[in-house]
Amino acid sequence: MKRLFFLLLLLIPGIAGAFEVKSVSEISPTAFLRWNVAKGPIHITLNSAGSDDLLTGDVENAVNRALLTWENVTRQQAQFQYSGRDSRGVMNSSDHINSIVWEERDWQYADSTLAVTVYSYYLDDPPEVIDTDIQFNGRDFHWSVNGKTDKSTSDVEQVLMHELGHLLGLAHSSVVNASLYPFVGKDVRHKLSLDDRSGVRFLYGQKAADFRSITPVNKATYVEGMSKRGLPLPVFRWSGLNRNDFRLEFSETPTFSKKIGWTVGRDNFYLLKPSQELKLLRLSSVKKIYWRVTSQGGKTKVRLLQFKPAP
Amino acid sequence: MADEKIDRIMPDKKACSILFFLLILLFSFSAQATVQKKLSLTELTGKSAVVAVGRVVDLHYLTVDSRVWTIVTVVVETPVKGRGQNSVKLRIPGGMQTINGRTLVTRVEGTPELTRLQRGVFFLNGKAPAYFDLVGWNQGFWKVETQNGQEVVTASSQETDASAALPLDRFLNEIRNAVREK
Repeated sequence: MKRLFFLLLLLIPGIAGAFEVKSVSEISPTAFLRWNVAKGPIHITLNSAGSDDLLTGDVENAVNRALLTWENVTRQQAQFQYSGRDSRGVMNSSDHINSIVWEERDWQYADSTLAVTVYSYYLDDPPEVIDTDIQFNGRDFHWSVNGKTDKSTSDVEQVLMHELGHLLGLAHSSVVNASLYPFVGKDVRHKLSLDDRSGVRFLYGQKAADFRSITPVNKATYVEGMSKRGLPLPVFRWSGLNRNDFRLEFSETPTFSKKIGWTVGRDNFYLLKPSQELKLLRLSSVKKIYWRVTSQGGKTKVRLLQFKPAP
Repeated sequence: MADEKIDRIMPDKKACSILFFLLILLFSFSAQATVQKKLSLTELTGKSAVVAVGRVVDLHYLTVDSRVWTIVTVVVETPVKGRGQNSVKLRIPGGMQTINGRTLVTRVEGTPELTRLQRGVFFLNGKAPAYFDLVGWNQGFWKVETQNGQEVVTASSQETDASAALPLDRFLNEIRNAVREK
């Protein structure tokens, strides 16, 4: 039974998990799919037919609230521009119109699917999202707004928040209270979790260093060991279950004789704050940092990272 | 990391049975779905016309009314449910198209990215000669791999809670039991 208990403990971290981003494997495992926010806000169009269940004005209000929720995440640069209603806002992967569409009759997918996000990108390096469309299943579901759901309806804003996460480049998360968790519970929730916010900051956060060039020396161990779609800095990830807080430690030497560190809570990942990034950059003159996670006297393996300050 | 440790530890038979039961329980925890209804293994089997272990031998893309689909041909190695057939064709939304000499990739969140020669357990609904669909998209495809000489299945993504590798023969037995119970 001890073995069984141990096996279950090993499984739980995999269930706890954290956010995932989409990488374009044809280019590289760390070629993350995102919008080029330097081009300006992401324009969103609502198909003028709206939903058969709702006043279009109510749908627009829900859309605007969901957009605002994501763009109000601090320390990230993704912004939206609601472009209004337009009959050209249809499902088309290459028209460069990011449409929200209710499909009332010709739903092409499974009848148990509430909504889908279809996204397109060219196989360029770096990969850049060029078009996304969000389709709501109006054929098999009824829709409501302002959290006024009952057993027969689903909340537009809640589902749209999930789909907008996909639009921004996030995949499903295994964190149960995250908007990007693939399934929602009974309660309508219009807030993003820390996991969601960390995800969008990972993709669109302002960084003190050129994190694309920060690579673990033993790449295979880090990427495959942490997650099938493991992430490099600035998100640190590790396995393990803990009843107490984890502590993330950094040092210029593998013995950690001189170190800096932060207590980072019970999650199995941590997104550095800009002030912490700056401290890390000042820590090492040779652009190499060893890092580890400790808790209750236990330590993870020591891992080595390289970095380059942003120009 | 967890998977590596599991590979090294071979639990006794009783513990393995309990573990498998617990995994099935985790897998069948039900909630309303944002994207997909979460399906237990029994539901997944019940909704499938065909369940088979197979290998992807061909992938090509089809654009219909400005929507691109990936058409996947799977050679059936072991039929588990449904009438025996040598191969099946299924469709997955999304795929690739060439526009002005550039490759445009379209994907639909929640669908698996299959590759040629990939082995897996496929849960399919529909009826030949029309294309089959993967039941629950990601939920309907489990990768088959060999670890330490043993064939195991792993869920293709977050839509299932079972993150560990399960022995293929046990997984197939659970499906066969679900078919019999039906």
